[in-house]
Amino acid sequence: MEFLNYFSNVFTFGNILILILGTVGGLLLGAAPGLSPTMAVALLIPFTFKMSPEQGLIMLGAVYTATVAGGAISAILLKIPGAPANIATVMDGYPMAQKGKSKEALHYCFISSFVGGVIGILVLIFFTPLLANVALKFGPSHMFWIAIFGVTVIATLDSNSIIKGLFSGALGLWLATIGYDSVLGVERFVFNPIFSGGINIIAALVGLFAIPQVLSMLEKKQDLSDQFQMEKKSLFQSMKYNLSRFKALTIGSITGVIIGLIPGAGGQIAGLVSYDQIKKVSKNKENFGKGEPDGIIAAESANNAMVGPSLVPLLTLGVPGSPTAAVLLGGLLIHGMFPGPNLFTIYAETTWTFINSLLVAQFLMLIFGLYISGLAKYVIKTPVNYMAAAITILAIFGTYSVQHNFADVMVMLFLGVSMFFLSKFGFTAAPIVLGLILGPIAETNFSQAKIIADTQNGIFDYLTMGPLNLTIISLCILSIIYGLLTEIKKKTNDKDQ
Amino acid sequence: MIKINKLSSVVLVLILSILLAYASFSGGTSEAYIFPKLLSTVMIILSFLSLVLYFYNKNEKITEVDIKKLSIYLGSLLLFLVFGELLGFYFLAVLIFLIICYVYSEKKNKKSIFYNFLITLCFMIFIYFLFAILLKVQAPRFFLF
Repeated sequence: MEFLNYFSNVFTFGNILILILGTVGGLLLGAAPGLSPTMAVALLIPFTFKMSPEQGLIMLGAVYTATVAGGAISAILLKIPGAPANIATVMDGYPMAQKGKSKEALHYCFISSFVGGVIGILVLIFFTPLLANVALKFGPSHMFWIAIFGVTVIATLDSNSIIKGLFSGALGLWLATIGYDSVLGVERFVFNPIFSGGINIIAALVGLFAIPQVLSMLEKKQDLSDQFQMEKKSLFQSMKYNLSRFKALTIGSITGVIIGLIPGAGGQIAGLVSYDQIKKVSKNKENFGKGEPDGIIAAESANNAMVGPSLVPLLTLGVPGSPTAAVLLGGLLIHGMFPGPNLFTIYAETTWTFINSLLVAQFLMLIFGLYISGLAKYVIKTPVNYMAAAITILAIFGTYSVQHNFADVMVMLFLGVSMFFLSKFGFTAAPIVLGLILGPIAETNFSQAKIIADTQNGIFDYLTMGPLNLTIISLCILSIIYGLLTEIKKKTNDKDQ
Repeated sequence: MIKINKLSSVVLVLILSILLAYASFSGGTSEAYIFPKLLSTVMIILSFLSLVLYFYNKNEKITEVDIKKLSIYLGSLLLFLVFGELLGFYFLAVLIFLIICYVYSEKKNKKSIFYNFLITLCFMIFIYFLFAILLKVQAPRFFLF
């Protein structure tokens, strides 16, 4: 119950203010179609650089939680998921809105997100210290494989093609070697002095997630002029009905927790799997897709229940549970905090305050979410041109503010535009970013392993022997096989259709 | 709208892998290059596999990019890269904001142009307050701002 010792830290004036700003901002960003939680967190990282680690993490955590829930607003009102995690919400949320029950659907969305979110954070609170103690037993070879595992998982799950995903991951790892070698101090691949410090992670994060999104927004340019009516609906009635849907809430929350714990899986999978499960066990199967509240309740409780558990492997091993958690890892590293047991010893105060703030964020998300959902119609109709211009200017100033270096802006824009064209060919940003973030961890541990191995039986034996090494290697192989099977299954389905 | 054959992306990826491998293997014998050498080898193998799969795969091999639509935006970014330090961030940001708002706007009447100016002004005041006053960021400037 160590977390209780730091609970009061959340309620300082500064922390609460940041938490409220993060939650409200996250809800509005989430409601805007095209602004994913990953992009929102990436855009905010430069601002947290100037904050204390505690406040920076509170801001990022609140935005992560709120954008996932806020994404349901445009999913329900416009049939455009605000985030990939809300894809399943569209299926019954939009039909409910068409029937004139948009407010009711939004009520279910935020109440279910709250229930799922609280369960997910409780799992984070109780599981993380246990897994962190296991991480104490890890040596350089294990940490090397853990970093590789993180990249393979994201590469296989967040990509349409496993080969492209793995290539992107390897490219990210290679880009991370630019600059000085952390163990030997040798300068590498510095073709221009601006790269002597390596590629700035924040510039890469902002560029890879924000600019391609802006380009595709301008290219597609959706018309958001649908008209919809907001009915009058009692919140008390919605709450009573929502909490009575115990089966949907339980299935959603449990599915979200399990999927969140699997590194790399993310909210999209959590929402879709729980929707599928509730549909299978429901007595009203025929109502699904036509505005069945259980569909919204299961999907939304699942995608928010995923948030907490997705941070368990991140905080203990450095392996993110979702692409947004991968970006959050960048937020941890810029404050000099490395995942692992140290987070619960040296940085215990910061870590527990951050985790506790996520729990408080769920309550704020419920309160503000229910209020904002009524005003959301104004936010979601923000014209694409204003949104594109604002994101671009924020990305440029945000990137520059970190090191006051124009080269970072150049790198950010170059990577962003390149990523847009790469995305046209099926490449995704998450494996590259994770490669960049985990690259130094992988290489440092590889170099340390080599130094130790040179006094023993050689590097191959050192890296591949022992039960823990073999377990992590097997997990890497399993994640690749899983990715392959999923790809083959998807291609077979496409052919059949 | 330009149509790009996916083969060009596969070839580009292969060329990129070969270039990175060349940089890694010509770096010298220092142990600092072992990790990049390993990675570039993996990248070459993956890009070869990608090339093989391209010919094996019978799916859609063409992708489209509406380059005409995006050219103004890409040009604005280029403008910022070339003149960012010379003309100052705030001046160029105002210019880029106005360009993007105007070009990608559905309506181009006097009223919408007035709104574009108003929104640009409000947004830039927010940016100035956030970065120059709150975060004390000394962005490159031009004349008054």
